[in-house]
Order: sequence, then structure tokens, then C-alpha cells
Amino acid sequence: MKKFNNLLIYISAFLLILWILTPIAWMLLISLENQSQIFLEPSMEKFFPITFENYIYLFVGGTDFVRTMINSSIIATITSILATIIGTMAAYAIQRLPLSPRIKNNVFFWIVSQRITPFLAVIIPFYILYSQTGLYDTYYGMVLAYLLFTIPFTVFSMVGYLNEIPKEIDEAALIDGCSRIGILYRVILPVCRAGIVTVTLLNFALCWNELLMALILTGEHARTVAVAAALFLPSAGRGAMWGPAAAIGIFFMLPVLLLSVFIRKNLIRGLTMGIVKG
Amino acid sequence: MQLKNKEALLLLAPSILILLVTTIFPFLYCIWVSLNNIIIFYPVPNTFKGLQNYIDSLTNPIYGFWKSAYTTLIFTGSSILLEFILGLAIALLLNKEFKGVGFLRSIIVIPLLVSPVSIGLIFRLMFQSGSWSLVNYILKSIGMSPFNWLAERSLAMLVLIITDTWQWTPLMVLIFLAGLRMLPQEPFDAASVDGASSWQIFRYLTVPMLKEMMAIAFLLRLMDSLKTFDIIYVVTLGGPGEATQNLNYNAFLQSFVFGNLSIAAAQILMLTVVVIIISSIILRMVRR
Repeated sequence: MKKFNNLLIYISAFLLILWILTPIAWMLLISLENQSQIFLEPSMEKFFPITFENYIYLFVGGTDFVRTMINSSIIATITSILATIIGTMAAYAIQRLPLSPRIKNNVFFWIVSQRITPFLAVIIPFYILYSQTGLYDTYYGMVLAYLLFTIPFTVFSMVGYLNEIPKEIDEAALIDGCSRIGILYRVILPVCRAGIVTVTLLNFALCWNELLMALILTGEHARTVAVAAALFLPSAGRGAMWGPAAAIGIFFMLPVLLLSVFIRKNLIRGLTMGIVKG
Repeated sequence: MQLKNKEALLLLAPSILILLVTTIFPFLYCIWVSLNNIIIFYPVPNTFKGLQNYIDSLTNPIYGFWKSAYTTLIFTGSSILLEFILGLAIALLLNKEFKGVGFLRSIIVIPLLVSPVSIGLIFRLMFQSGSWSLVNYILKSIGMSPFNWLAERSLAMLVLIITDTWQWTPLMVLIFLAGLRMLPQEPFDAASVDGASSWQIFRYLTVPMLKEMMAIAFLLRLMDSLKTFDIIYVVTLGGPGEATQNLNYNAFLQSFVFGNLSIAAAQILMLTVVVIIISSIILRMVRR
């Protein structure tokens, strides 16, 4: 019985690994094939020899891939840094300062409830305003729009992290004559470094992966790589561009996967908005 | 005390200011848009329509509201159910100690990190109609006939549900796994001493003790699932026909493809209200 149970466990574990890795591996293989290999049924000729022509095409084939990568990096970097600074300040105020609990809870729930609102309820007004004010298709416009969901995420996560830092640290610093803002920068920031780095990188990932807002609020100039990736197949037409499309898919997911290695320890907690203390 | 409040204000001000600009103000503006007749792409004089856009959405099938509401129900209902069951099963598996479980626990987060656009491309690639696509090849090698996945209404929906399940089951796993680890060990020891079967232990101990975590997982997924856009846009483009357009996608079509911002604003506000009502009902149930 025990042996049978063990066998069952290993079979399910094996299936689970297949289920998670097969889709990604399949796209990676397709991205390393040339146009005629792609439409072959799985065989040796389908997978060998491998070619990097799809990746080369992305960089020198006249696509806007490189430019949109740069746009995405700029927008995501600025947004994640701003959101982390602003959100951490708010989280500190909510978690530590002697405000009345009613105000605290209301502000907290208001900030966090942004997660519920469908983005379109914000994008429609933003689109009208952006077209009138010249913010349409600019970095400023995108950063402002992305702060909408990165700040609530930061506040929610940082309140969780601050909760674990003993209040005595603050009080000791207060007695030494430090101001609250001084405490935040000189005491809290160093203690919370791991949490802050995690939140910043996850903010970056949120911006990097976001599609709907970028699709509507950018045009030629500030287009992000998510939009370029999503529009690649429809605009290439004919369905014949699977090689480059697979290469885009792989390249597009790479930065976030690499970043996640740095925050391995805090990753699970960040992904579940602090519900799971990893 | 006065000084402390001033500091609180200083710390909260940037967040509140930006959130005012990015939430309260657009929300009010969105209500205003939904009460008017704002159409982009071609010039139409704006007229105040009052609640007409809401009435039109609910009564005129041309705006696709009920159809996409039905699609939303099918998509969100089945994908969350599937993710829930699979998530619980995988969490129970990963909660055991066996060789290699650490590796499994670390790769399980991968789908959560891959961008939905990439995931969409992956699954669109795997479910192509020819025999070169992975899924059809597998079907063929076990002796079944291949399908034209993305050209048939119910199959296209199935592909989307599978895509969503692949991406979001790990979130359920992580939450359930955390729940399982927090459970006290004594009741389980007592139960097995008393000779309870593993199904009885699961049914009468694990499930009731995990109830709160289950509600949280369900609520998180529900809020996000109702807003699904990316994978639909990449995998099916809402097609074939309108078979995979959920409420969010339909509102996107009405506004930024057909140009009727006011109808879309009315529909998205109705969706928002429904989400808020459902969420608060669930939250109230959890707290009880």
C-alpha cells in the first residue's frame, strides 16, 4: 500500500512538471526553428538543426521590437521606483502613525479596492483627457496610468512588511529626537530592504506585463513591448510568422523570470499580496 | 498630536493625490461619459442621454451585453472551478514530503511570472489546427482525430479556460499550501489514531479548517477573472464570432473598436457595481 502510494505521488509529480514546463518548452523549440521546420510534425528534422534566425529577425528585421523594449523599460522603471517611494510612505503612515482607526481603515480600503475596478472604467476617461491634454502616447501619461495599480499593490504589501517590524525601534528613534520622516528613511528603509526590493521588482513586472492600458493609451511613439507582442501576429497576417512570434513570446517573458531569481525568497509572499508569508 | 497629524498628511498626501487623479476623478468622469453620447472616430454632436445608455445596453442585443455576460459566466465560472479543484489537489501533493518536492514548489510559481501576452502566444501556438500543433499531434498519436480548436465556438472557449487554468492554478496552490502549513497537527494525529480514512480526514478536518483560505483564494481569482482581457485578445480575439467575448472584452470592443465610449462606460460601470456587490457578500461570509 505504501509503495503504491509512493508510486502515485511520483506519477502526479511527473505530470505536474510536464503540465508546467511543456508549454514554455514548446514555444522555445518553435522559436529555434526555421519557417519550414515549424510546420513539420515532431521528428528529428523538426528540431535539428536549431536556428537563431527568428531572434535575429526581431532585432534587424525592421520590427519595432527594440524600440518598444526600450519604451517598456523606461516606463516600468520610472513607475516602479515612484510607486514604491510613494506607496511606502503611505503604508508607513497607515501602519504607524496615531491616526484614528476609522480614517486609517477607510484610506486603506479605498487604496486597496482599486484592485477591484476594471481598468476600462479608468481608461475611457483617461483616453478622452489624454487626447485633449497631449498626454496621449507619452511616457508621462503611461507612468501616471500605471501608478493607478502599482501604488495600491505597494501599500498593501508594505503594510504587511511593516507589521513585522517592532514598533519599539520607532519609539527609540523618536526619543532620540528623530522625526517620523527621518525614521522612515534612516531606520525603516534599511530594516525593510528585502521587502522594498521585492515590491519594486514586482511593480516593474506588473508594468512590463500590462497590456490593456498600453494598447489604448499609446500610439506609435510610446508603444510598449506588450502591445508590440500582442499586435505582432494580427499585423503580420497570413499566420505565417510563427517563428518570430514565438521568439517574441520567449524574449518578452525573460526579464521578469530573470528578475524573479533575485527575489526568490520573498517571491511567493509578493505574488499573493502578502497573504502567504513564505 | 497636531504635529503628528501633519506628518501623517505629508506621508499620505502623494498617494492620496495620485489616487484622486487616477481613481475618484476618472470614476466620476466615467459616470458623466455614460450619461452622454460620446463617440470617437467620427464626429457626432454630444447630447445628454441620461440613463438611455444603460437601458440600451440591457435591452438592445446589438450592444452584446447579455451575450457577453453569459460568456463571462461560463469562462469565469469554469476556470475558477477548475483552478480551485486542481489547486487544492496540487497543494495536498506539495504538502507531502518526498524527494524533489522542493523543486516542484519552486517551479510551480513560473506560470504566475510569465506575462499573459506570452502565455496567450504559447497556447495559441499549441492549439493551431494543423497536425504540426502540439495538441493535435498528441491527439493524433493516441488515435483521435485533430480539432480545429480556435474556429469552433465551444472549443475556443475551452482553449481559453485551459489557458487561464494554466496561468492561475499556481496562485490557488500557493494560498492553499500556506493554509495547510498553518493547520495544527494534533487533530490530524488524533484522527488517524482513531482510524479515520484519509478521505474522512480531508472532508471533516482539512476542508473546514481551510475555509477562510479558500474564500480568499476564490475572491482574489474572481476579481481578476472578471477583468480578463489579455489572453482573450491574444488567443482568440473574442472569436470565432463573438463566442469568447466576456463583458470586459465587449466593453473594449464597444469603446475602442466601434467608438461608442458612452455605451462602454455604462456597461463597465454596471460590471464594477456587480463585482463590488459580490466581493462584499463573500467578505461578509468569511468574517462570520
